[in-house]
Amino acid sequence: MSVWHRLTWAAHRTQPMAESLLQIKELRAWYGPSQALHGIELDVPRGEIVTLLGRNGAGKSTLLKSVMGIVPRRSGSIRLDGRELIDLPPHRIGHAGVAYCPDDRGIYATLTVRENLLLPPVVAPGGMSEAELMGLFPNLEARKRSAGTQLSGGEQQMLAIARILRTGARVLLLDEPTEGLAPVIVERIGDLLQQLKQRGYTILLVEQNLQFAAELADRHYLVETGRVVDHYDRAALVSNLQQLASRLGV
Amino acid sequence: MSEIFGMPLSVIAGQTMLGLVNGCFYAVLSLGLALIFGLLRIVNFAHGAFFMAGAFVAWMLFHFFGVNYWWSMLLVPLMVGLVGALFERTMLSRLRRLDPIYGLLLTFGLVLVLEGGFRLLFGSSGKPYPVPDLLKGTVQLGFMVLPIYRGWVIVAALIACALSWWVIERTPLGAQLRAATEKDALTQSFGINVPRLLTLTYGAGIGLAAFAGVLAAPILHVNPSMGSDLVIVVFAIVVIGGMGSIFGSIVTALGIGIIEGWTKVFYSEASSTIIFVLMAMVLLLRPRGLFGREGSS
Repeated sequence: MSVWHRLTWAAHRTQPMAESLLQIKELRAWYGPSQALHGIELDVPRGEIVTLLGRNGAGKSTLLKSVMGIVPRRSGSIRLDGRELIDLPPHRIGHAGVAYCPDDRGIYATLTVRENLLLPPVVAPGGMSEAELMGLFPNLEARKRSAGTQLSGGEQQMLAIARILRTGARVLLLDEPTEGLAPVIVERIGDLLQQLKQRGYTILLVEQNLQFAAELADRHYLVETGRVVDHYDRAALVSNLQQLASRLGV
Repeated sequence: MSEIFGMPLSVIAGQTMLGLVNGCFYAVLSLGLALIFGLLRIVNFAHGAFFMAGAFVAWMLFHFFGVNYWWSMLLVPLMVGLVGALFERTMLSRLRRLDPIYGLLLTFGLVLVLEGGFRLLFGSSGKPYPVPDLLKGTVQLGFMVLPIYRGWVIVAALIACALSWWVIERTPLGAQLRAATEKDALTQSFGINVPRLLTLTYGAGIGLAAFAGVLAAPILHVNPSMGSDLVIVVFAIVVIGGMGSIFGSIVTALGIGIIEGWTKVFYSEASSTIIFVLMAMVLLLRPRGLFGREGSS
């Protein structure tokens, strides 16, 4: 490897980051006897969108769940703005200002749309008001008395994102928000995430849709068998898209 | 036209009313049981024992401290509910991640302790509890004579059920409860203190059982086994109505009470088995219960 190569190679790996808001070190997680995460290391800089790429079963969803404290057992260090979260019970992690949107969207069948929206408690000032959210998602306003699961898949996804925007949490963990949705809805979600970024939210996103991730995110981590094996900034991802696609099997 | 199938109308009306009174006790008990099962996934065997404890605490308050019926109605559910919450917090919560059978065993053990304790203190023959003055006597309804106290039991139980239903279905606290019942981990990740919700729910369910105990004290003899007699039927009702369905439990309980009453009129030999025959039929034809939701087994 020539010096020049070495320099450019190093450049996309060690590009100076903005201050890291969410910092994960040595994160391990287990489901019973089987270990799902083997020492994850990653940083999510303040105000950026960061994606987790990887095949099914690589541990991306487990990583988000581990941050929220809803896996059976985990160890390591998860710092939010310098504050250690690993020893907190799950409901205290929510109050620390991280909000989570699961891959099944987590809409409650026994709650109405409005109850779903108002369920997560406000944990910090600066969240959006109910009126503001209903304005942003007019479909929800029209169907606020229906049971949550009577909404279409796209509407459920909007609801799942809308309800965590009310809480004032500034770090959002989104697990495959575009999965199984029509292209036009995927586009709307992309626009929404851009808007959220402009408003200063920090987003950690699990995404299978490489194109979607490439257009949106500032930084990407590649997860394989419970480890972060590579990371790319925006430019590096674009130039490695082909190679990465084959690596992800997409 | 004062007979149906050869039975005088007044007899049928009387048994319907008695059935409804029993149904009301079933309703308040099965409501709490369904609430606890739905959220904590625990088959609370101790429910009948707390019902009995409610009746005994009311008797003790009256006998030793002169606390009247109306104050007992308020104080006893709070006191016994607090004991229930304490029991959940200190013992039951430790079994949360284990097989549900452990919860059943622990609560069954508690039944033995409570029943044994009250039997040791007060004997097994039972204690009388007077009907409060305001509710003594009867009213003539034309087709039947209604003892006022029994009418009051129906009214009070229905108010308790309606109030519980309202809290669960129409308030933010109820929404949290339903959410935690449906997806506990996710609910907790939003920053909702689910363990505290479990304690609260258990305490409230026990409070309801104790409330039923106070209501029952002037009708049933206050004795250590009064809960066990009732709770088996209540379990059958929860199975028939659908585990974890609040509304289903209430409706089923009232219906079963009335069916039981009618069976007494027409074929009294079957009156104590009819419920279990119904339960077997429901389990065969609709295993999730009449009002049970798909997947909530």
